[in-house]
Amino acid sequence: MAGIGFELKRLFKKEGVFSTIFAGIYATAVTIGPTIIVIVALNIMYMLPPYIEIAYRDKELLSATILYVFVFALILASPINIILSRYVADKIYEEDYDSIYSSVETGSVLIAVFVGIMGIPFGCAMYFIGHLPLYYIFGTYMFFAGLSFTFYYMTFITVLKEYRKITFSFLGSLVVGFLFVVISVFWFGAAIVDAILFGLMLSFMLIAMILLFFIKRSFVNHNGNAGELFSYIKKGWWLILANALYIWGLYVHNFVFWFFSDYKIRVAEVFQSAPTYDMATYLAMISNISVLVIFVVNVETKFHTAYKAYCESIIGAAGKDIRRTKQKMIETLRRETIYIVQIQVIVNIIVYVTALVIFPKIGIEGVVLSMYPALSIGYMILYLVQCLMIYLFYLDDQKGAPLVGLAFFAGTLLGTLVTVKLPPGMGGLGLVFGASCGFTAAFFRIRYKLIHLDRHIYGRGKIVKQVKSAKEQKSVTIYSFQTMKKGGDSN
Amino acid sequence: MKIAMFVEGCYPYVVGGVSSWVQMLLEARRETDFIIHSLLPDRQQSGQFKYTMPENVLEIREAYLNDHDVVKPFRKKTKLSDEEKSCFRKLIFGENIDWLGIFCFFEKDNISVNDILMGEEFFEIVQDLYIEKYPQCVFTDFLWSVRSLYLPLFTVLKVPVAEADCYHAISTGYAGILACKGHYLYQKPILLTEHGIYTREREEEIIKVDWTQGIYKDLWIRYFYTLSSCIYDCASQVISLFQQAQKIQLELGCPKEKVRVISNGVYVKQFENIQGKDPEDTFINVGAVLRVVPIKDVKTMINAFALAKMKVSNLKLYIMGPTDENPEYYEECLEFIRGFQVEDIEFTGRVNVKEYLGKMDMTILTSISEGQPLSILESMAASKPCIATDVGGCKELLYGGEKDSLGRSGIIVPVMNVDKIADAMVTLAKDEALREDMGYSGRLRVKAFYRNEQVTRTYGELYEQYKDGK
Repeated sequence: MAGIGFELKRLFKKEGVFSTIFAGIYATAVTIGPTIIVIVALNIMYMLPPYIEIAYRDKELLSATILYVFVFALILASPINIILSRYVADKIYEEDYDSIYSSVETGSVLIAVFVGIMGIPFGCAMYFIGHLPLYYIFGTYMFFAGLSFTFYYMTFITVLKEYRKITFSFLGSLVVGFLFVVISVFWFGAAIVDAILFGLMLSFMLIAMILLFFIKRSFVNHNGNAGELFSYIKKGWWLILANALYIWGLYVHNFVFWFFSDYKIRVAEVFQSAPTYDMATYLAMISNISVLVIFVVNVETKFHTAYKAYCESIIGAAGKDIRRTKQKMIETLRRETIYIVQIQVIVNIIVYVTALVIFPKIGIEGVVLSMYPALSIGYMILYLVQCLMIYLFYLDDQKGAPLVGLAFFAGTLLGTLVTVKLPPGMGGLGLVFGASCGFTAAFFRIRYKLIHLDRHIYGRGKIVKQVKSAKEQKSVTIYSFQTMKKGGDSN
Repeated sequence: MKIAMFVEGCYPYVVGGVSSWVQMLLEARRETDFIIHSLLPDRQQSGQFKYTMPENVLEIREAYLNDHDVVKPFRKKTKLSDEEKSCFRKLIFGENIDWLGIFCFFEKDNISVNDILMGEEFFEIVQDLYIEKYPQCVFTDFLWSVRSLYLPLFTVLKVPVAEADCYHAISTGYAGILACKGHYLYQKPILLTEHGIYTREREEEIIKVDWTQGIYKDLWIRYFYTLSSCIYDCASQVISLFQQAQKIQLELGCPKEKVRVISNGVYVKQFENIQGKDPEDTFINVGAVLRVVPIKDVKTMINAFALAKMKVSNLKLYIMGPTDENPEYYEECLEFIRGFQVEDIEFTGRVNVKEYLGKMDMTILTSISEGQPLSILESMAASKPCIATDVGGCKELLYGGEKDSLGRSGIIVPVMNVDKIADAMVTLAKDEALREDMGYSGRLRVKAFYRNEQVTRTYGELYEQYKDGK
């Protein structure tokens, strides 16, 4: 979320209970708000009587379609968003608002291309292997595109500063989608599965368009420098890679279960999934996500301030002031990390105990409940990895961040390949292992970076152009007159 | 016998006093082989020799102060061991410098200047220096200043030095350091001849510049002192051209037992039968043999000439020497002349001085800084009185040294003093007898003390003395 820090700082600066509550709601809204809204909307749609009455296979198809669209839209948009977020944050800091719209255009083209690259082959598979009707494929594709664009445009939310309008546009679009479902089912007698799919497609296309409308309205001037974002992508390849590895790690354990577990199912020949494991994952994610909100607030308000003070001291302060601000920044990082670990553990225990009591009462039991504890611990550690990765991004750790992503991804993949065949209660231990690998790597990497922070800050770049010469060093040019002399002698 | 000679920013790329002196020495010592290590600011002037190489010059090795960091691909990053770090610490702190350690380090294969200057070890050394001596400064500025300071030195230290029987540096500074590298690595003697006092010249420049301020000026000055101290410590003999220069060398810490004076010289015979002034020439001709560059302060000369011409209307000024070294300054001089609306000033370009000197009634040199100018010696050899500013060894040349009672062979004037320079011109222009007396005295002095035969013989003896590393 580009520029979220500016807004959070403003909100948390205000004293009083209501301000704090509002700031908390704001932070929740911009970090996980859209997810919550979508979950609620989906559940409402699922509660419609025609949905309850349809065949289980149709329900499975719709669930699998929605799952795939969400997972792959996130996999697609997230790495691009991370670089865009940095770009937009830099432009806000530089007050160069004219460059922002150009990046919107460039990013949109990129998203469209990636949607095509991922969506068209899958669409073909849906048609030729799954024998699904073309309109359903079209609906899925457009839903995927709409969601990918929505994820992308949401990066600009904080730049727009029209939170209320955006929240209402989100809600409004979903209401329109819901109405569309109701009208098409009850009025025109459409199939509920198709209606929900097209309703969602309509909602997200609408959200994407409304966001684009707001962006266009806010940035009337644009400098046409569309290529600048590419130079950011070139410079920030490590950010993209680290984020991509993290996102893949986030889902790779699901993929392993989709293909290798005893819980795997195949819907319409193309949608491979493991609903039991996916449900347990979903619950583990939801029950731990509050930590992310707390972390974002703490990083953007406390750590960012300390980090900024340190950076400013480097530019123009005496050595003792630099040491002081550096120490303060390290202390803030240490304190906030310990704090977030403590909070995470407490929240996890509370949620875990609550879940054990509540889940059976709402019909979640059996295998899902067995899988939940390990996955909940996995998600607890996984979110800590994400938090530490954000520190690594701050510290500009171009090697460390992708390495942490890799440790997390590879650990999760290998771990889950081992645990996939174990009893359900141990299935999530693969994620625990992978997240622990990521956490260990991140912890030691941050420690290493802080120890060698001076080298990193002051030792970057080159003082003079470096020329690589395969031949003998050419720091000296030799003009030899000996040969000429010898030639002259022989004559 | 092979001598490796080290020059900075002059021979064979720039025509001038030091370059002419080097050329003279090379031509005179035909039996000795020379390798010339020449340091240039960058690669722009590469290969543009202004002199014809004598046969005894085997090689010219060009190196560049502002060069790229040339490295081989697939190399290991350059890091400092504890011992090497200690050497660099001593260098940067300027205390008990282990030059051998530094030279040996830069002899290693594939050293990257970038890696050293941007490395953690160098950073720690600079940080320690900062905490100990300059804790009030902005640290980042300090760090980058020190890096910039040592960049040209480390670039030069990477340059491979040829093996020779004796190393002869024609200045301290970077040329001196490179000569010291040869001396340390091959255990061969080293001689230093200073035409000007490099350290003082740099100090004067740094004080005037505005690209660096405050303690950073001190850092630069201290840096050049460090470079000088290296060669003063390891040279077998430290030669200056005149007594005043020797005094400064001693002040700068050069050991007393090493110093000696070997003056510049000219071939007096070459000026015996030069073509004289045309009897029909009604002008009083003033000749200035110089490169048209700011350090020669040609503008003051023009200004003074304009003033003198108001009193002596038949004065004519010939400015003899290349104008292409600093075309902007030359243009400014022309603009100056147009501004004063003064006539009878002629830029001849590069000429054979002997063809012109005879036609002159006097010569003039208004430099801001000089060593022992060859142009004054040539003027004296041609029996022409000379007006010169009180810089370098000019006074000693025109008024004589301690054991010299030959009288004045010209007029010494203060630097940039237009009135005094103009007065001197008027005095000489109006008094032909004085001109003749001074010219006569000058020729006698050159014959007695400033003969090239004497200079080359002395250097020959010196080379022989230190032959084979003895």
